[in-house]
Amino acid sequence: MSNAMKQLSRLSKLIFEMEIDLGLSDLSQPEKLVLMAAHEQSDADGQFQTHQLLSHPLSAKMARPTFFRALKLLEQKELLLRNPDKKRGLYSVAET
Amino acid sequence: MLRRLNLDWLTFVVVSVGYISAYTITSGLVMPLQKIFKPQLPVVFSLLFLPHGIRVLAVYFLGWRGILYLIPCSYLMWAISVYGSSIDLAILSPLASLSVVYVAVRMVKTFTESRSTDAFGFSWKECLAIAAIASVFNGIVLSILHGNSFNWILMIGYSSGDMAGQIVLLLLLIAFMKINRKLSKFI
Repeated sequence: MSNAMKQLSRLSKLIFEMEIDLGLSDLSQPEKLVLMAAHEQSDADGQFQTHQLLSHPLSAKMARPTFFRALKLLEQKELLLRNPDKKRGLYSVAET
Repeated sequence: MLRRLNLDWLTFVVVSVGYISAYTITSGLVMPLQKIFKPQLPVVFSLLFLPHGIRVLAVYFLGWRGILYLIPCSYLMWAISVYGSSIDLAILSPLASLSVVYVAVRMVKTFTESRSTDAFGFSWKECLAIAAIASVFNGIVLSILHGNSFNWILMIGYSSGDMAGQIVLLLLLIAFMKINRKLSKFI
């Protein structure tokens, strides 16, 4: 990734966090928490595993069905992307 | 030379287009409206100065390189303002405005680095704190450069315009990204 694209990706992350914090997004509370946790746990390529989110303070106290429902909805909204190789539990954060 | 300083053309183009667009909206839309609704205010400052937001974001994300990327477009727009719109601006004002943003970034980063646990390292709250500090410094420096002595009215005018510009720019970026996400679903 070029330097310009890397910085634009960081900027879009910052803007997206602001959108969530100000309540301007149309996401439910569990979706917001899972998405914030995903942003924090994702590596340089934006990838993360579901078990990382399950132990993250933002989503750790969430009931399992609520967590997986939020994960599925975020995937449907194309904010989180499932790994194309179908490796279990591997997701990536979509460029917002 | 560019490689040695770790600068690249794409970043230069993105930063310049952002700055020139923000300046054009300010001088082409905000300033005429300000002249209509607040004709008593001096024409040297805008109540909503969007380019300050671009300056803060560029220096926040790119560090001192952000200043180098912004110098050409800052002086281009300064020249257009001075010779095109006959606004009396000091020649050092673009450089001073960029320098105060860098000082504000270093101040806030020094303050937050020791206590930050955020791996991401960038946050909109930190960005607004930088914008607020830089807008006060900018107001002080520009009011001195404009009249050779400190002027409270100019200082408050510059500072409030810069801060409003930063907030509105971030809100415009949120709106832009929401529209972009909605449109991308149809493509």
